[in-house]
Amino acid sequence: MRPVIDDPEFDVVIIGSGVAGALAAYRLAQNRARVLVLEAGGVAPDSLGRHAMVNSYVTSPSKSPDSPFCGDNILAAQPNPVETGKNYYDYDPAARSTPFLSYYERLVGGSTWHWQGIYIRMLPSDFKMSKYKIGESWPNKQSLPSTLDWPLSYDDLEPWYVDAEYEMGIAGNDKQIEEFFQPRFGAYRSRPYPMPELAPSFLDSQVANAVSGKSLDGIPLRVTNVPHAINSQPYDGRPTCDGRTSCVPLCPTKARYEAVVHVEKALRAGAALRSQAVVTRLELSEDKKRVSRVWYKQWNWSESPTGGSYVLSEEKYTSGKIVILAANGIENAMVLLRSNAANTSGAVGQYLMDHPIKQSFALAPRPLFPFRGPQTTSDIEGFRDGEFRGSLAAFKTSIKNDGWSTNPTAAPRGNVMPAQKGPSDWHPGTLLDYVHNWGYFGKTLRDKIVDHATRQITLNSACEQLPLKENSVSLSEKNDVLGIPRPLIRYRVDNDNGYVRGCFKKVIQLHEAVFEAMGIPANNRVMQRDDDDKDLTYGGSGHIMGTTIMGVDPTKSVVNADCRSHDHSNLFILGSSVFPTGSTANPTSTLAALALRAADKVKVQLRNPTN
Amino acid sequence: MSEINSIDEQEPSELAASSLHVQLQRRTFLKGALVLGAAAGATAAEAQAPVQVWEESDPQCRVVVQEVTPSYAVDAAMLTDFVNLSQVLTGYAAPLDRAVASRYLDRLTAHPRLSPLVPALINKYRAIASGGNPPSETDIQQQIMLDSAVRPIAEQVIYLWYVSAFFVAREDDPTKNVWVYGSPEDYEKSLLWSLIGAHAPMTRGGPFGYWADAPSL
Repeated sequence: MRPVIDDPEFDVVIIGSGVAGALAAYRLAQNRARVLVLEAGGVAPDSLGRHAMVNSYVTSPSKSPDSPFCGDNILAAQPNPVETGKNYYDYDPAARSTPFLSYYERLVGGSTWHWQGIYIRMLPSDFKMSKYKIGESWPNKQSLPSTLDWPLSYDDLEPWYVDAEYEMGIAGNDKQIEEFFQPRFGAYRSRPYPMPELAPSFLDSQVANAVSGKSLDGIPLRVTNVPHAINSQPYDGRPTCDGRTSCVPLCPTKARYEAVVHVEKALRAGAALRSQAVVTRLELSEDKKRVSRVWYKQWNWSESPTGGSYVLSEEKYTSGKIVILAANGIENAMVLLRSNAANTSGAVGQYLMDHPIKQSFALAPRPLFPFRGPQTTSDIEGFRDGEFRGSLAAFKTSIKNDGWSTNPTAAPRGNVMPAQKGPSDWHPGTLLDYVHNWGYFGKTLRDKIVDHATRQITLNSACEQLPLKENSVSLSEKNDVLGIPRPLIRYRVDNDNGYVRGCFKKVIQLHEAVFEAMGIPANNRVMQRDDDDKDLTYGGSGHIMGTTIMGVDPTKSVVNADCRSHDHSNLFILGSSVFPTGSTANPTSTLAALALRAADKVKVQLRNPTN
Repeated sequence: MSEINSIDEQEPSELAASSLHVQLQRRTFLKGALVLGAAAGATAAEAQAPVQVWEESDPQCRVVVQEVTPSYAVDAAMLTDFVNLSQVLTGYAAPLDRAVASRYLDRLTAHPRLSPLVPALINKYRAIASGGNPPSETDIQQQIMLDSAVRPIAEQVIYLWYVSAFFVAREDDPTKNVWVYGSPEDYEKSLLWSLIGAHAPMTRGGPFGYWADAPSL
């Protein structure tokens, strides 16, 4: 054990190297701060055009989101999608939870290794949800936080949205801002997108033509281009997208932005990186006003002829004048809970949110030619805002370019042998079903596969979810493979008043309306309707929010609008864990904007230390 | 079409043994280490939320095949028959790549469970292809697809060409099947994708924006 060092070893210690941590590391290192990034996971084998990761994906049976990284022993303990996270998430049996279906990557660069790249801002209303008077007449309104308003506005954050978009490289359509987003939602842009839009797919054009002029509840079913952190032209030394249709789980060409881009930039600017370094706890000063040390253990995987094991170091510490916690929506809360830190409000770990997904799929009457281009290029956003949000959640609908491959059929290949043949006109459209159950081969098989696969369409809608106190992550008594307490989840996808259930019904109406407009008969649609007396069926988005919420009141929130802890003057918390409400926007854009804004505050604070 | 059934309420599961050793076995699956059977996975039988597409506890990583030496000769004649048979089984219009065929035949004849089944398939093919003419689809149907002795191996041949993978029983849980892939080169050439005017996911599709127009099939 080395002698105790009193002066902080670094100006800034950043825990986590995802988007938030990497952006902060870069801005601060550029500003000549001495920066250390601690990352629980290891370094991906990124060389030779990502050859090793592509190989892992190709040979993976499941081709799940973390399949490019399996077998390399670089991932820290994390929820495995193939095991619905239950290898890592523990559940409290008393809480009658529904599954928490969001996952993440714990390696250098974080979860943007496997993200789609959708880059959508929150809407102005999303920052001021109190105007919809949600829950005022509910008997159980105490589950909601004391305010549904963010402590800053769209106007406050807008310049930082621009900053992040240029920093990361976003391709988008400016014209539809003028024509649709600004008039409808007040969602203006002060600067154009850095790059022109990703080309809409042929499939998108077929949907757009079909729904042109149509509406639901007076809201137009307008198809819009989705802004992406994907290059529509060379940007920042990275190539243009060539449409490999594998954004999730990996872009082999780097046309799509990942946080590892900014980790590299931060290192070039002089930041240090300690990987495979899992933070065990934050140590507080005697008066509890500051984080004095960050304790961590380094781990390695050690092979032997009979297997292997994790080897952990002794607990080590480092220190910074300022500490930034940016370890994602689950791990941020876990670090704080292990440390008994930043939690005067009691809100750490509470208000856990996701964007629950409802999918529908169908077989179009004419070929749409999916499996070409990025996995999503267009969407329908009309239901992202409106008065209806007083009683049911807003949602955003993606039009998928990858056929049925993300729905339970896993068509056109299939992942499970379907049960014995069903009704004669139902085909899940999988190779396994056609060959094994029906005995098709030769030209018949070829024609059937082509006919089916080219007409597959999936609509994927993600709903907002309310922040509920009892949806939480806390410390399990069980440990993970690194000897650290696992997350104990208490989570119900909906509250008792059906905010999400009502949304899912509306989603299904919208999906039916789109399929109807496309001329798809009812018996060629699969709608995952929920019975009123049964639990909802849904998927997870990978958008983990709310576990260290931002607010004005230190007794009710964990950080202020600058993402600084109310309790500890040198602790900043970044990432979607600070979101007090979920909106319908994919969180990366907002957490990136907040991270850049907070980095500026950190710079100021380094120059003028407080207490 | 039937609707997807709603899931039963999830009971939280217990991992059979959350000991370090058991979890290590999952991590070392790729290395070909023995897997501890049922102890390696979740024990509670649970319905999946319907948007999950993987069979729970599907191996995430590559499945390692302990290859065997076939007890018969794998010669040029067998390769030629295999190519011709594959042409009819797959229904692919253009001539199949002989180099790819050679690799697929190697994988079939080296697979511990599939290797013994190959000669019967080839012999069946030879019986119906005699006279120098390729067999008709009716012959294939009657003599191969409806013959339970060779149907299973014929299916694997089709899977191999279409997606470059076998679909065979797992070592650790033979009640479940799993896709067993070969090389990225073969994956790129798997036939399904070119048939639908696309490309194997993660391989190159075309220049930027190619996806805006319909392909010509």
